Amino acid sequence: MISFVNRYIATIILLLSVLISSFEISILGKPISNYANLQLILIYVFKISNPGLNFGKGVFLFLISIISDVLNGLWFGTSGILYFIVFAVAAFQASIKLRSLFVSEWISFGVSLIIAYCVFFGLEFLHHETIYKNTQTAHNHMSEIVPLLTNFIITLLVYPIFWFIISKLVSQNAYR
Amino acid sequence: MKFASSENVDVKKNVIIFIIISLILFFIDRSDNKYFKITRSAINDGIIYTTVVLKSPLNFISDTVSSFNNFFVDEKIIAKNKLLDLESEVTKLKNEKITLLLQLENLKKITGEENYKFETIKTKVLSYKSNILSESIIINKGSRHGISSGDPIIKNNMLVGKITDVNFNSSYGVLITNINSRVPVRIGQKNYNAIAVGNPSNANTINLDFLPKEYSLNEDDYVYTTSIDNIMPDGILVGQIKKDKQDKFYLKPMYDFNQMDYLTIVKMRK
Repeated sequence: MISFVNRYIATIILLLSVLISSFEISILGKPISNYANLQLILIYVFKISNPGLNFGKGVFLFLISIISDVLNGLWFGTSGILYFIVFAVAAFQASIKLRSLFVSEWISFGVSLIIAYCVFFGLEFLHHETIYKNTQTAHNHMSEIVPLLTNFIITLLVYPIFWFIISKLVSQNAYR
Repeated sequence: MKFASSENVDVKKNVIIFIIISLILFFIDRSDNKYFKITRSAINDGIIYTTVVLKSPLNFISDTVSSFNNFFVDEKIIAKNKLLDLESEVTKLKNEKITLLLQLENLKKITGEENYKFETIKTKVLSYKSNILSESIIINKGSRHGISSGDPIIKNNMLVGKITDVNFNSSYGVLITNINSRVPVRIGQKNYNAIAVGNPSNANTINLDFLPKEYSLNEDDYVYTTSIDNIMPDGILVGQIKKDKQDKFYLKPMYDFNQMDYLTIVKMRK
């Protein structure tokens, strides 16, 4: 049992983070999920700290993304695209590194976040395209970027904490 | 140190395949395909109810911890405070009801509208999710219970939100404070028509769009839903007009969004 948990620890923690995120713990009147995207950090950190980890060749990651879409009321595939973008950047970074250099990993995490958030914004734009056609509510367009930017910056800033916890304590035994 | 291995090549291939599958799923889902909608509803119900079951031990722990904390507070003081709160709430509601009934009667006389009776159904909130751009709730009633997309979600005759997507045994709803929420409303005694739109910069306020070119609002004016095109029943309370620091009017929702255990759905489909 313990070896099973150890092997699948990354998938289990990611799944739990998706399930538990519906317990909204608020900071300054807004839920934590508004400030940082925990799932993207977990995917990147797990992959970078253990390059052999593949989330069941991507199948588990895909299934978790579907669960996330259902629980967030998003269209199917939205989370999947984001998760696999971050996973792909992490896999690339993990395969080219000769030695672990935290700063380069952090920067590449930032790059993966920029790509993921641009795609997310594009998908949201498609989702709510009727809003943007409306001239009277056009001001909403800019005000949607602010929470996205805040989320991006805080996600990037809290990365080192998760990197420390996961790479030093959790991820050593995870294979799948 | 890691070098490219056959397993790594496999993973890269899988990543590309899964990104393509996700994109295909996204566009099929977006196209509102009839057959995919049925599959989606079944998947949604399965995942939602499995999550509720999986979360139940965590809910139990959370409830136990909070009741353990309350154990150390004097029960009499808690009960007394609760009673006082309830008494003031009842008085407030009684007063509001009288005012509202009078206002409704007046409004109906002016507009000559029919008094629509709609069927309602009580529902439990299974989950409340908030991501960067939207807040949504998941409730435990769906198309099998006669709920359809666009049905208003209310509590104590105050508008909470509306249904956006319906599965067989569950549904998604957005709150009126959500940026994607659009509610036709009528304001104050002058009966101005407008659209209440969620304010992305402040979750506790609602913007009013499509007001007439010339209007004069009064602070504390009540805002009700209007039954234009039969989207909403007439006369559900949405909020009150307030002024901000720059003397700009905004709509403050009446409902306290922290209390979302049980809600009522008004079935608009006849």
